[in-house]
Amino acid sequence: MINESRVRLMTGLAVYESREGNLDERIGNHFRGDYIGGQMLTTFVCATVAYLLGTFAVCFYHFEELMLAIYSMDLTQVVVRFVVSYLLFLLAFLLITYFVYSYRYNRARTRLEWYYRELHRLSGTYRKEEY
Amino acid sequence: MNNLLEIRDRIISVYTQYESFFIPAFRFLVSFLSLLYISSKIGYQEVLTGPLPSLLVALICTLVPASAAAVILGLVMIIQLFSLALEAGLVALILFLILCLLYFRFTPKDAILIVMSPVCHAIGIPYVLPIAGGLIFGPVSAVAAAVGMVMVNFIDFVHDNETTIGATAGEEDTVTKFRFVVDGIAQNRTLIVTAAAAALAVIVVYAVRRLRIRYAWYIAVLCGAVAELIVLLVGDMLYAISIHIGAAFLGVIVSALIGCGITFFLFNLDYTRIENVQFEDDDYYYYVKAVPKNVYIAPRHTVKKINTSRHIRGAQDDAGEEGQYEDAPADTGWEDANRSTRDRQA
Repeated sequence: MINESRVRLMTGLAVYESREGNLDERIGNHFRGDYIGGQMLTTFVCATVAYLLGTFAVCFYHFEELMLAIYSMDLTQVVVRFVVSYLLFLLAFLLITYFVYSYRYNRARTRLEWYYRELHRLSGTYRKEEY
Repeated sequence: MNNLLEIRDRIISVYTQYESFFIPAFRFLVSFLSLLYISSKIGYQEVLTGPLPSLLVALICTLVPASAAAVILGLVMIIQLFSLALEAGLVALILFLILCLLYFRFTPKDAILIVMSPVCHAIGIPYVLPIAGGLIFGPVSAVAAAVGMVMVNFIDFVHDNETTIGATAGEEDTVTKFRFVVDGIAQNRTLIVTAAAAALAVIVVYAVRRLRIRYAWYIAVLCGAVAELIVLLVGDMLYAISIHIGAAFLGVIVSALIGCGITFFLFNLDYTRIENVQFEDDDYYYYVKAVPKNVYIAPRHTVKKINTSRHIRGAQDDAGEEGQYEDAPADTGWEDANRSTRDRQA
């Protein structure tokens, strides 16, 4: 005979597995620090590339003015401004990454805990049936 | 109302039955129409222009997630623009890479708003995307909605200025053309106003739908539509943008109606049956307001089976039609037992 509560339990677990389960499993395989650190490293690379692209576009846009003023401008000041704005940009994105991925990690852990609890309940129903 | 709920339940049941068919079909249709729009406006690369290439690319878009479909759409656009002029392609590539690196990394789910933006723009209801984004996703989808607006307005800009952008130029003119294309985005007031309207509408819809008020979702749709309309009107008055206000007004109304449709399917509550309950545990008192969902209760149809008369049954017995019940006495309750079993199954 079909055990209705078990079917309900298994359906809930299967729905979770097919939706967020795989991603949560991958997140859950890491320690919190490793996961967030890895994501911040990726963000560092992405933000750096994006900043360089943006800088290239701005420089190309002001190409003529830049060529005319290149000998008269204070290069040290330009480099300092470039580095400071890059650091601010990077800091903003690293902060966003930290908050977003901390939240995602915590949410995934909560869901995984629920998943394992439900799996335990499921195996409990089989054990109960055996006795 | 009951009829509407019945229709909704039927649609949902048909959708859940054929979900694995509907979702790819919808994605294919959206991708195909978007690609057709792109190739009709900026179809400069022959290999990618026309219904057949669009069909093939749309098939690929159907097989991949929405974020990957947005990437494919972006790549098609960039190739088309490179075919017109190096500068236009370069600007599109830089914007596309920045978008992928900084935005899609965080929220790939709402990329469907970007994929849908050419279709909605073509049929005159681009304002539905911010409303849908605010209802279905979160406030961050303001970026996706704004990017969708930027994309379609950029396509229009290139289409309108293709002779200027596509003109053969010397090396010294490359920078001038690059500046012209960048100005087409940065100083395009229509683009800025529509993108701002979209972003604001997403935030307004999301903020209002989260409020604990009656009919919050419907009010959110209304507020989002009004916010969009106000930004468009103010933009038109200040900058004389190239938007036909009558068409925009109509588009916003249609978008609001579609938003109400989305609400009807996703968040349909019966505010006439609110229950306020109060209980406590060791640490807290709980004051809970429970709002029941609007559900359609299908009427139960009972089929009454009338027994055939004795002499007809006798004739059927002779013909062997009820052979399996031959040994059962005529009135032992077999019919009743069968009927009650059928009722239970129903």
